[in-house]
Amino acid sequence: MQRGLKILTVAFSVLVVAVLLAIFAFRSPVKRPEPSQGLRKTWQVALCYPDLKASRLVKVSISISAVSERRLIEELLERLKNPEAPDLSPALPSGVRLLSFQREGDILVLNLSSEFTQPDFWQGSDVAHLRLQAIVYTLTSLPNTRAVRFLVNSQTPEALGGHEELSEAIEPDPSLQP
Amino acid sequence: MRFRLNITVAFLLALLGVAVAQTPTKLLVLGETFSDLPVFWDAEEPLAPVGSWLAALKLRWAVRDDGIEFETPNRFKFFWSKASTVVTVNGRNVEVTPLYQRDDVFLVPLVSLARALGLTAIVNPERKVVKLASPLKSVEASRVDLGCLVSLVFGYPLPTFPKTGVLRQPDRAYADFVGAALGSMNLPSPPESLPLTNFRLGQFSDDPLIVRFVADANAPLSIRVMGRELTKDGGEKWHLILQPAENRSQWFGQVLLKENNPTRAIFVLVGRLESKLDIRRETNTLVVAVPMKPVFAPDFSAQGDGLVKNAFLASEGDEARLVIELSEPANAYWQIEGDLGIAIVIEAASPRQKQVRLVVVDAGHGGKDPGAMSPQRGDKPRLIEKDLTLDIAFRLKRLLEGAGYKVLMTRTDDTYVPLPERVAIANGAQADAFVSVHLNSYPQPGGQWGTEVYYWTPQSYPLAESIYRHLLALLGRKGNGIRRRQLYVVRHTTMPSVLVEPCYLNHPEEEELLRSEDFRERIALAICRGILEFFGDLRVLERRGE
Repeated sequence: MQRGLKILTVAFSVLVVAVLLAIFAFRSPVKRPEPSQGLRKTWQVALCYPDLKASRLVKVSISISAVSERRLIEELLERLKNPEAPDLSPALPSGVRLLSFQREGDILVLNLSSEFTQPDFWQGSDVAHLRLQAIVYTLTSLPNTRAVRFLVNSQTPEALGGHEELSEAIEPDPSLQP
Repeated sequence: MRFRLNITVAFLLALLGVAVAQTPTKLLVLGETFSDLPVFWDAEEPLAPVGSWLAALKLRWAVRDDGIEFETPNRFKFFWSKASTVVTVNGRNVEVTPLYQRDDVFLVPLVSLARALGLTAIVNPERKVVKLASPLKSVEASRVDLGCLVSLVFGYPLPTFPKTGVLRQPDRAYADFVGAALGSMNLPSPPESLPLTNFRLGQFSDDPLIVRFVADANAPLSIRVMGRELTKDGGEKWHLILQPAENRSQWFGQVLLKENNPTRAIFVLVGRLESKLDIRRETNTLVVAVPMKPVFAPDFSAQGDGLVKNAFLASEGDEARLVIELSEPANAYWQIEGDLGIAIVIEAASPRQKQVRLVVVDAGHGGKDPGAMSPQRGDKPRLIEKDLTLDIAFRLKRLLEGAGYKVLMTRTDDTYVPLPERVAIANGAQADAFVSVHLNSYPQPGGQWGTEVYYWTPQSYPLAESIYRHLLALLGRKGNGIRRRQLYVVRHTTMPSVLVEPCYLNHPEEEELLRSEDFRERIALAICRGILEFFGDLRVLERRGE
């Protein structure tokens, strides 16, 4: 009887240790390897462009492989400058560069170079709105991204073309759903 | 010793159990996503606490001590208790897991709920995802006078109207049903006498769930929603009409009560109705004359404790009259409702009646922001948008003041006023209307011309429509449409507000017109007439012969 009790006690102790180890193992943060050249990830993205008449947005679904999210965003910005199809128009001025980016919850904050606010590119209410929304729709197709905030040289820029306010994060305009 | 060990082990196992049970779950309810819901997974099926996610199913529910009373959108009531293993929904007995109660909160078994309501439950325990979708149960197609009528039956009412559209090369039309899941079924063949070649169905998206119906054709098609019916078993039937694109004949599918709140109600006249609707007001009754009878019976199922007390459709020969009885006096107007048809918007009359109306006139751009500029043409000076908008704004101010209005301008000289400041001026003054004056520009000079008016809130549409109509009448330019856009100034102002783009500064012909004072005066007069018509004061100008 005494021996049986001892065996039961040892068995319980082993179980307790196992459960504790399991809990700690689940709670320990998993260290992910830093992205490297050899480690590419593929994203499904919906690129959006204004059509040539600037009357609506057109969606092009693609998958992009990149080694990091920064590279992915740079790639998207490049593609937004130069649509492949002839019936689409660019959504970003040429020459814009991504200086940095960060995430604030589900808001993607882009810090762009000063070419972004080039006045000629943002003339006309609807053209400007469609172009800006093309960028927003494209970037909010990334996982966990609800809205986009724009900075230029780390500063909040003035209204874009006199039509679009950039002091707050911009969400997709539902009336333009491509 | 043994007692102590037992307590420790039991405590640890309980901790582990709670940790596993409360893993955040993503719950997709028809078209809506609920993340991080504390769904419990340690039972026979996932359980979600009673909460707002039930509203996504358009359910009404009342929590009682011993269970929950539900009412479906089809008005079926059923009671689900802590002891129920069977609930009766619309005369149908459905086996369910009893409700679970924890800390006075009822947890609803999700698979059982789906079974009771006629939904499909897609459960992924590894990824902690549960999807409740309305299953597509059947598709029928038949040839009718107007074209091909396609009817799709779903197991449960969908959250929104389907989105329809057409695509070219090859020609095809589609309808997207949000919140739906594809089941196995036989698709009918298209009627032969139309340019239709094939029907297809697919699960277009998994998050949100969207079923896409596609009609392939060998010529351009048009597709429109024609009507909706709630089925006797708690489901929903959507009718689509497919026609050759060149067919522009009028038709009237159905009248639906889309919204019925204490301050606002919306009827939608589904169809292609070209003529302007005549809305007549008789004390607390509105009578809307419609030029033809609808194909389907009216759907007033949204009727509740709102502004609309009662509504019925009366036929008179080939025509129909929609009679709406209101709980209090209200204003009504009609507006285009996307591809669906025409909406009749009814709004409770505002208690505040001002003696003098205040309009905020916003001259676009200014100061360091010149706006658009015309291209250099010979010796002519380039036109600058900020100068012209200010000129037109001053003209508009003079005309409005002449009609007895108060006018506040967001700028009176060449200064830069940030957009939030322009909005603050209008909102702070509690203006009755806001009009932002701009001149358009197109990336390729000369590539576009004509008139556009932008608005955002539904209350702004009548103002936009009125100004647009007068701009077209007085300027004679091409009408590019009244567009709903989230432009900053029309989005953030709280009164009816529009942004007007009467013409293009970088189109050669319109640039020449803008150089003329007479043309700029006509722009101001058209905007003024639009505002006055919106407020029902147009006769002031007409009396003066302007």
